[in-house]
Amino acid sequence: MASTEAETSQDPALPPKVEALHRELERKILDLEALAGRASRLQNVTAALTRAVSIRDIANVILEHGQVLFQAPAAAMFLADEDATSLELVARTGAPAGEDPRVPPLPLDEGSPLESLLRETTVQSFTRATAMALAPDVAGLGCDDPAFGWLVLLPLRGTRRLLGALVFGFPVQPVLDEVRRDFFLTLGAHCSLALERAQLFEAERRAKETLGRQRERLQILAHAGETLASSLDSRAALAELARLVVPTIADWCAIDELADDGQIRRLATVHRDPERVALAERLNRDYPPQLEEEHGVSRVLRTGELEFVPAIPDAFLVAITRDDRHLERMRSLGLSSFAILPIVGRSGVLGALSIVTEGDRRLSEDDVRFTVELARRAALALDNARLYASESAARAQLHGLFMRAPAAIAIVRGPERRYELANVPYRAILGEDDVVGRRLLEVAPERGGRPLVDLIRAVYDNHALRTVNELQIAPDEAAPAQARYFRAVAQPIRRPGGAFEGAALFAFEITDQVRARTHAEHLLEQLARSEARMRALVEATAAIVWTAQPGGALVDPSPSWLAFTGQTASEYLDGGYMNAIHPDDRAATLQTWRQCIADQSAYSAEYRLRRADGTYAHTLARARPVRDVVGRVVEYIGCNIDVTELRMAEARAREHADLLGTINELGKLIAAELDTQTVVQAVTDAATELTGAQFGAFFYNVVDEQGARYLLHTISGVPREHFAQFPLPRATAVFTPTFAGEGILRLDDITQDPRYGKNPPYHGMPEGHLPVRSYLAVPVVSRSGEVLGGIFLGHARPGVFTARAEALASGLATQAAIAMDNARLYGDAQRLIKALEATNRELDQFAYVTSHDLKAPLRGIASLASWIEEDLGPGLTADVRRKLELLQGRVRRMEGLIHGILEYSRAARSSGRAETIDVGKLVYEIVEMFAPRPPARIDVLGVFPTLRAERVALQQVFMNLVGNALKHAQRADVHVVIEAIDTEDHWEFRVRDNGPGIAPAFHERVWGIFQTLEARDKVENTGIGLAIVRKIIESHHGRAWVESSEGHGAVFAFTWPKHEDRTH
Amino acid sequence: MPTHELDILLVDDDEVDVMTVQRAFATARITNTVHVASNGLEALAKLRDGSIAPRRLVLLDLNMPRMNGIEFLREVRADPDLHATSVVVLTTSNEERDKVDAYQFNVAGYLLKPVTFGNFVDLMVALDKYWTLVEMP
Repeated sequence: MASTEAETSQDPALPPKVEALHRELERKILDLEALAGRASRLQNVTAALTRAVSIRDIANVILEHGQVLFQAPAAAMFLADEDATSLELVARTGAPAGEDPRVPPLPLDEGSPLESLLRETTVQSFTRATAMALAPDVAGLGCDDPAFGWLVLLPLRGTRRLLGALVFGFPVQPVLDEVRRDFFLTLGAHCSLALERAQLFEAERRAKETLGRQRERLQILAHAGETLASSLDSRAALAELARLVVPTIADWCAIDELADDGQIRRLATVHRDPERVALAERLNRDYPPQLEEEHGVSRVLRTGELEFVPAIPDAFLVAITRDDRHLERMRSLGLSSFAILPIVGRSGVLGALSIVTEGDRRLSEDDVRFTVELARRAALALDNARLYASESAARAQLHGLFMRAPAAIAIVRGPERRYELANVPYRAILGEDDVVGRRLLEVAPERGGRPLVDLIRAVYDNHALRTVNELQIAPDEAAPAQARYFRAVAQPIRRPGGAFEGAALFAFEITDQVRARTHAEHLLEQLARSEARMRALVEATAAIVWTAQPGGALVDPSPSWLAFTGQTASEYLDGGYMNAIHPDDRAATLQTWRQCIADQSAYSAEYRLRRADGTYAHTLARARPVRDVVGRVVEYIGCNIDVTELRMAEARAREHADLLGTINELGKLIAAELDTQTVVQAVTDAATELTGAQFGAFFYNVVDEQGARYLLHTISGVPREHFAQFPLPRATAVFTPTFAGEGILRLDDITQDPRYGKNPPYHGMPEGHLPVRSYLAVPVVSRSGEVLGGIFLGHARPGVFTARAEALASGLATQAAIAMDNARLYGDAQRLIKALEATNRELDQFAYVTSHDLKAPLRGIASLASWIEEDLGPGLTADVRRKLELLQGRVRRMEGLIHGILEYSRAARSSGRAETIDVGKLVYEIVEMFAPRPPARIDVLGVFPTLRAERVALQQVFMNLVGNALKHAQRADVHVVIEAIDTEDHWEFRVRDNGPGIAPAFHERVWGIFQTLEARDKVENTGIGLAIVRKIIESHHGRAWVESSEGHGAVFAFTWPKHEDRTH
Repeated sequence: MPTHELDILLVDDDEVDVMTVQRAFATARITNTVHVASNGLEALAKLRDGSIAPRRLVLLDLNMPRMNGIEFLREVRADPDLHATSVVVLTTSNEERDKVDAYQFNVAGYLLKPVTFGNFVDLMVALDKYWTLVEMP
């Protein structure tokens, strides 16, 4: 701070005048010094002002320096608004500490004292009282301390207008000499300059800010357009809008949609602070907007009108909330302003966009306008998206229809003639899949699509519609049968102006129609041909053709009838034709004919017609009425066909069938007979009876059990005694062909045969033999070609045996051979079975006796060994004792083997006592009997059946298998599982163990008698158990087998038939 | 008990079996006199020559040479002096036929020779017990 300017120092040593001058001089010097000081300070102020950027900086500089410059205890700076209509306090000093009252702007009404004061570009001083009168508010500004009696007002003028004013306060009237005034003015000028510059800066900054904001908003708009256009889902796009608005425009943004069901659905809520989103969403959920509400989203959605509240008074919240809690929560949000804008599309209001600010921030008109624009664009984009979606769906639908159409469709467009569309049938015709986008002639339709392509070309050439009714397309020219037919239309496609642009082809297949038509044509042709053929046939086959009047009279003599019968025309007329018909057939024929005339129906009859030579022919007569257009019978046309041959052939066939039937019947009877004697007798009887013989004999060879052959015979027709006296037939000339199997001998009269009677004395026949003239002999030959014997048939009359009799006898002989073969085979089999059974019995008996006899000495050996041990007692050496033990061991094994043989020989012997057995119970009993000590265990799985079987046999099988499994497991934790499985026609039982298993090489061997896989001494095992099991199972028609591999346990399985009655 | 009064005639061709019976008697401390015959003929001779006390029991094997057990029984039952003799069959034969035949000749019992000696002793003890209880004429 500079020294006080107003103080003076006095030197009492100087005279008054000099002293006065001196004092004057000193004062001047002091003034000059003060002036220089001020000037330098002013310079400092100027420098400081140059550095100041903002108005606040300028104010600080002025107030600080101004005080010092002018020794003013108080200062204030006012700024005018742009139109210089009011003054506003910017800064002040010298006010009582802690006080900063809000000062309302001072109005600067034109012509008011303050305004006129400021218009002056000068410095003026006033008393406080004057100032109060001039502008009471100015006085109130910081100059309200009564200690500051004087004010200095310094207007601040810029190049064009009033910028503001500086006010300094002084306790006494300040000196405003020229120099001071200049100082004030200089300060004011510098201040004005600085202010103008600062205002320019400010304006520039604001302009930049505005520009930045606008750029930001433009970006939002651009982004919005992009988002909305690219989004497939209009709702998602709407939601996206909210994110664009926050925080640039508002603190909150929410999007609501008016859903199809009339409900208001919140699509998105976005807040500057993501954590507060949940709060708003909860509020929206708890108090969802109701469509009928008179404010907010509901009203906007319903009316499509904007709602804008630039400042939210508390009363508003009170009005819109529903209860106290709602109000409380709304208040807690601290909302300051909001706007709700409708999103209006072509079809109406799509939704509402709400923007809300908080705290000091408020929405401006500008913000709302911008957001309205945003919403408008959003709506537009959404509309477009929806439109596009529906249009593309329609296009896709149309395209799909084209592609799936049952007709071939193709569109070729442009001067390059490129395919724009080619549906599946079209591509199939072309035989080319890759068609669209290629040029018309580039897709070579070598496989028959050419006509379609030509059609399109024709449209291109003539720019006119072309249709083809029956376009033939042959995939292979070599096979015209595969040709397909199409009805094709090709038409030009024109631009809206009418210019030709391309061609569209539509071809649907009519192959079936064309084929049907050609087929019908073909049929008609065939019909005509077959009619002609029919006519020819009738003429060729019908022996006779005749006509009759509707009333039945035959008035036109038929030339063919006359030729056939030898009748004359006059004999034919007046019913005379009837005389040519066999008398026995006339009545029936006439009746049939009359009936047919009465009914006007077709006529059909069969009768014998006399030939010209007097023999009768079987004829089939048929006639049909011929009618005129109105259906009246005009005449009858008839014909007779000679069916004599046919009828005879039928008769022969019938006879043959009868014969075969008889033989077969007999065959069936004798085939069932297994006794040769019975067979032979039956054949002899049948042959004698069927051939009409007086008597018959059957001589046949038999082989007895010793292999000796001898001849036996049966007799039919005469008592057996008749032949008993005669010797057996010898190899005479008559008999040889039969016994040698050379063939059948049938003689009408044997006495006339050269072979007969070569043997004297009775012409080869024993004395007293029945007289024989007709003779039939048939050899009986077995399948193997061996002659089994011969059937001999005789009759006293000659010529009795017909060809039919011969055929019959021959057939019988064949049947007899088969039956005899069968009987012999059966006999052989029976003998073998009996022999086998006897052998088996003997074997079993042998085994039994042997084993029993073997037992006795064994017991002796055992006893003796133990007595030796007893008797010698302590005198026995360890070595001898060991040997005695070995001896006992062998005895036990021997005993086991013998026991085994006994068991085995008994195994399959049926006790014959089948009973109903609950196999499950039986198995459980066996498990209980073994009672394995844990950890060994036996499990039973599956459903066990109840069977009819011999208990002991089944028990023995299970016991052997389970016992084996336990014995051979070689582990303490042996686990045996017994299972039953129901298969189609039998039960399968399985005994599974976790023992060492059996290598496949031994799978068969284990079933053999006395076969063991372990050393005899190691395991107490005779090797008889499995042999017994198999014997039992096989004797019950079951099967037993092993499934195992070494190291993986073994399964012993067997089957048991479901029906025990089938087993024995 | 006057067990010693009952003489035993053992008819068996198998020497070891004879020894078995004798040892079993010894083991079971059965003190009855045991006479031995090795077939039916020999047994008949012994029964007839008076060397055996009248209170006697025949232990009879069936399978023997020269005269087997069944033939011996037939002879005994046909003999007016011997026909009341008590005979118990002691054999290895488990044949049904043998049992039926033996009982046709009124045997007092049909015993199968046990396989082990221990069982043999048990059987002899039981036989002894039974016969000490039985009243005989």
